[in-house]
Amino acid sequence: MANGFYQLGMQQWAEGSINWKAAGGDTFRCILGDAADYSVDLVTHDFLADVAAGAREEGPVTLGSYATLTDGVIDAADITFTTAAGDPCEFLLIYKFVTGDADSNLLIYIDTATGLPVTLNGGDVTVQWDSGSNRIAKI
Amino acid sequence: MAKKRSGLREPSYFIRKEEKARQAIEPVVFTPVVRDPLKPQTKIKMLTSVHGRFQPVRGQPQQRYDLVAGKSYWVDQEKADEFIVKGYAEGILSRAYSDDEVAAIRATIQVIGASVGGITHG
Repeated sequence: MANGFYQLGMQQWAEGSINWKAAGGDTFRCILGDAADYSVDLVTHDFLADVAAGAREEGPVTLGSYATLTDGVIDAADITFTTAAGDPCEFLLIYKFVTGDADSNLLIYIDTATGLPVTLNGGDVTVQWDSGSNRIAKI
Repeated sequence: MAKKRSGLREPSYFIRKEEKARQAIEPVVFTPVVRDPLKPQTKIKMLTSVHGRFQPVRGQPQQRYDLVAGKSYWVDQEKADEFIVKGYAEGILSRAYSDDEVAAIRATIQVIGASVGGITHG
């Protein structure tokens, strides 16, 4: 698998249901997950309920300091999972939090990055988003 | 007329030796140590969003916290120092930390790399 967007999430972007902006936008969260308990399907999976609870090893952590750059580039502050322990983790997943698992839209799946997979050892795991031109993602 | 003494309470020096011995070995009741709610607090502003767990009272289930980048929080001084030293937050340290201490505190951090993003749809 490779990094990618959930197609049904992209539909939400297209319909204007996703507001990623510095103030007054939606709430976005990220989890660190175990691929042994989740087989990603970027075509049919749409809500967080599609991701087994056992696959969500760490988080969710709420993203902050949202930014949108030119050409549809989205960014946010780095995130940290403190005292992270559990199974090895192979992916990061960003979703729009609404009220619960059943209505929170899956947006971005990342399993190809420096430091992934990561073995949780009880210490902190920090995710440093790309500081290049594409930041977290370019839509 | 002599007073009836049967209803009077016996003075303590009449307590028998055996009773005194029994009182002497009453079990001690241990009280669990509870986290001091009046710990010094420090205000910090988060530079990084941080998720973690803590145990407010020993024996009770763990609770999660989710501190969002760009927002300010009051947290325990010890935790605030940790976050500031690790670069997760900005604020005032309660004391100076040596380079060795800083290195030791930061040694527990694993990093998922800077090239994590850069997804282009299409």
